[in-house]
Amino acid sequence: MSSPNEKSSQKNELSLGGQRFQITDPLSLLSVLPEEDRKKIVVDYAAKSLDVETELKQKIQKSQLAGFEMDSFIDRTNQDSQGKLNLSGEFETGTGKVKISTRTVQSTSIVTVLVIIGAILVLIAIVTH
Amino acid sequence: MAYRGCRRRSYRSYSYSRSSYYAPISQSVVLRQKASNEAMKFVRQAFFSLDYARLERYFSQYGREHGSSSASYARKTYPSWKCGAVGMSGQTATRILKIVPGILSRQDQLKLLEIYIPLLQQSLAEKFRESLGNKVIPALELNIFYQKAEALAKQVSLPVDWFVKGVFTDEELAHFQEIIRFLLIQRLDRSFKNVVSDLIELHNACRGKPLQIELNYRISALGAQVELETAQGVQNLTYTPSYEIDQSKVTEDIRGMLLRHVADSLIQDEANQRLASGMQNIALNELATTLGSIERANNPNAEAQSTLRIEAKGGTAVLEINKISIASLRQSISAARLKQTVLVIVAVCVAILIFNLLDSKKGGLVILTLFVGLPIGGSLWYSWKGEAESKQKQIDSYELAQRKVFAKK
Repeated sequence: MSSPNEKSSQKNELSLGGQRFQITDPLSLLSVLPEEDRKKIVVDYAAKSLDVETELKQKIQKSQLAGFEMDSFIDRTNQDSQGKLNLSGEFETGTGKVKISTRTVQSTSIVTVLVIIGAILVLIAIVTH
Repeated sequence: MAYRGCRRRSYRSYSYSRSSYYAPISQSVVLRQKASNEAMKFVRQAFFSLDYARLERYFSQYGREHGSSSASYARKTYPSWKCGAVGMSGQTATRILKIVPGILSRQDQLKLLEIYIPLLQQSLAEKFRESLGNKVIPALELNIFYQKAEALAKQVSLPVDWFVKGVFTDEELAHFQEIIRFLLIQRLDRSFKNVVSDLIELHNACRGKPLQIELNYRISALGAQVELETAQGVQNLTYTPSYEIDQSKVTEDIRGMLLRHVADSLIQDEANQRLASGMQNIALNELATTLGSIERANNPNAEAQSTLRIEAKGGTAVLEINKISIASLRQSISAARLKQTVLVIVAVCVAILIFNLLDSKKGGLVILTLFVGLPIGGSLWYSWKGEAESKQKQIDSYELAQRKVFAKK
């Protein structure tokens, strides 16, 4: 399934004082502003872009670290072939957090059941004879 | 500026009742209050920075409104107010400062309005979340929900304080409000596209996994939750906002201010959109890592549960991922059925025994066997039957959840 194409809205024009502006390109609005305002907005834009880049880099690092921690957690779970450990872990990721817990389920042994059946049948045979 | 001199203490008694009901304050009200406080601070500073000509105009105006004696008191006390030696009480401050916005230069008046606009915008966005935040929307009705949000944006009132009411004409105030609504509706448009993108990407990431996944998705812009078992059909939804602005009669200075605000706002939105796209990529990567980790838990009798919270492009997703040991469950079901079969065999043997005992006239033993054996046998039968049925239900819902991609809540 693919994401919808980002069609530009047919209503993305702004008309102010008889002049029409395309707002899909915000930087084009700057051409009609006084120089002082233009400079301020451009500087703010550059600073914000830098902030976004820095934030994303930090999140990616955190995400990678969480990935390594999760891998070693699962490796410990897999090494426990006896199923004696019930493990749980919590990891801070780049965009949130992850909690994982594992437990081993004890299943009923078929052999035990068959032994019980055999014993009961023997008992009944003895009683009826 | 610190107040010096005698600070009058007004004695207020507070009564705290431990059992009294605390009603949380609406965030949109908090933001409007913040706008008022900031505007008050600005007007106060401007009052104490008025040049001589404007100050004289101020006192003349004050005299016309409140009388000459009040005006001469204000003129006399102005220096003390300015240095902080005398404080202004709430009512006095409002009376004194009310005239100030009308006296300020056009540039300062526009600056005053610029304090309001972003906070009013945020307040309106918060109002959305408060009105729509506790709704749960089926995924295929997203576009209808956004249309309702757009209708709300067009109707909701945007009250402004006395600071700006007396300064700008109704037409000018209407222009500002139109711009605020316009920008908010643009954000709705962007939010819709981001949410649809998130749902499709989450669906694709979870499809075909041998796990039970429950998704709880909350839209950031609106606070509402989206309910879905599959995102099939979401890609065909469309939402096109229909709010146009055509302001042909706007004065030059207002136009400049509005354009500045629009440019600033849209550039902020673009930066936020870039951040949101980056976050989506990171979030999907984290989801893939978590799903992969759980699948890697290869002990056949191991079960794993995971709760993953991620910030995606248009909202926050919380995924509950379960891996159950189908083999163990099937074994348990077989064991329960086997126990039921054994019980039947034992019951038949006991029946034969009772029949033999009846012949030998051991009536007491027969009655005891029936009274003790029947209830015990009956409860064991139903208990094992229930155990097998519930485990079978667990397997069925697990397999259904995998076919649908997301489990029903």
